Amino acid sequence: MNRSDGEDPRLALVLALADDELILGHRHSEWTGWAPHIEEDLAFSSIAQDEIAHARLLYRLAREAGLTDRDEDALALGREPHEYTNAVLCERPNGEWAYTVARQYLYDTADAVRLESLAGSSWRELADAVKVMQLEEKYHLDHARVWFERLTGGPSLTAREKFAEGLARAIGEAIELFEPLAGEALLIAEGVMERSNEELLLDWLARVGEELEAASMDYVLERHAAGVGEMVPTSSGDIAGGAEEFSAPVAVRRGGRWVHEGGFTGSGGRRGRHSEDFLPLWEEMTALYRSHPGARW
Amino acid sequence: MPIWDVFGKRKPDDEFEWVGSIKASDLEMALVLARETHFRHKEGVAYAVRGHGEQGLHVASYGGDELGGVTDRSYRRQEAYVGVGRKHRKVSQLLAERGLTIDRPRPPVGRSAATSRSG
Repeated sequence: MNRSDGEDPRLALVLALADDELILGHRHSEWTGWAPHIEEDLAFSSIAQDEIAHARLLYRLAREAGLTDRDEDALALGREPHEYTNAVLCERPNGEWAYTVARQYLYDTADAVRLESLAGSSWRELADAVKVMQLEEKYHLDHARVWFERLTGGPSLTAREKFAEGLARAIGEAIELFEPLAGEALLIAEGVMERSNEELLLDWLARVGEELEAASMDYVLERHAAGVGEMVPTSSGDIAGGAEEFSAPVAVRRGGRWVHEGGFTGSGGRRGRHSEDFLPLWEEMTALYRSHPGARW
Repeated sequence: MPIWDVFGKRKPDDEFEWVGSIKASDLEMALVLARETHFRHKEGVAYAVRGHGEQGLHVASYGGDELGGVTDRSYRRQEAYVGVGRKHRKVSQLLAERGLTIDRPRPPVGRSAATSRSG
C-alpha cells in the first residue's frame, strides 16, 4: 500500500497516534512530584507511563510491519523536531492543574473515539494493539471524568472558572487532533481506517458538546469559536513549503448539536509543524539519546 | 479530605483484605485513586474501598488483568535492575580510561534507604 510519493500511509497513521501519546505522556510525567496530592501524583504518573507505553507499542508495530528501519528508541528519541507528527495540543506546557485536566479530558475523549474506530481496522496487528491500549484508556477516561465532574459541579466557583478557562484554551487545539493524515483516502479504501478524521471529529464534538451542555459549560465552545485559527509556525516546525497559515475548523451549534464549520487549511502538527513549546520539550526529552546515540541500559 | 480504607484480593477466590488507606474527596474519586496507589505493581486482581463508619465495601469495576498495567512494566520492579553494580563498575572503568570523574560524591556507606517514592 503506497501513496504516490512511495510512502506507505500506515506509517503516518501509526506515528500520529504514537507521537500524540509520547508527547502528552512526557507532559503528564512533568507532574510527578507536583500533583495536588500524593494519591493523584501516583495516578497521574501511572497515566503518563501508560501513554508512553502505548507509544512504544505503536513504534514497535511500525518497525515490525516494515514501515521504517528505525527501532522504538530511534523513533521516540532520535528524530528531528519536524519529524514528530503529534498534534500541538499535546506539546503545550501543563500550566495549571485545571488546564492539564481539561486537556486530558478532551484528549482522552478524542482518543476513545479514534480507538473505537481503529479497533475494527483491517490491519489486524494495529487492531490488536488498539485493544490493548483501550484497556488502559478506560481508566484515563474515568480519571478525566471524575475530575471533570468535581471541577464543574463542585462547591468551588474558582475551580469551575479555572476549568472553563482550561477548556477554552485547549478546545481549538483539541480539534486539530483530527487533522487529516497524508494518504488518508487510501487508508480508508483499504479499511485500515474505518472512518475519516472528519467523521471522527463530528463524533467527538457531539460527545464533548453533550457533556459540556450537561454541565452548563458549553459556553466554552462558543467562546472558542470566536477566536481560534491562528498558529505560530516556529523554527522547530519549519516544513517544506514554508510558513503558510494553518487553521482548523471551529465548533458551532446547529440543529440541536455541536458540529464543526470550516476545514483544515495549511499544515499543522500532523505534517510536523509545531508551536514554540515543542523545541524545549524535544531538547529535554532527547538530550540523553542525542549525546549517547544507541546507548542501552 | 476523607480517609478511605482500601481492600484487595490477591487471587479471585480470596477474601478482601485490608491493604492501606488513601485520602480522596468522595467515593468515585477514592475508587480512581486507590487503583494506582495500591495496585500498580500487580498486588491484586480486585479491589474495594470503604469510608469511615461504613459497613459494606465498594468494589471497583476494573478487571484483574488491568491492574498494574497491561504493557511491559518491568521497570517498576527491582528484578529489572539486576546487575546495577556490574554496570556501575564498567562505567567507572570507562570513565577512568578517559580520565573522567563524577564530581558528586557517593552517599556515605550505611545511610538508610532514600525515602523517595518508587514509580
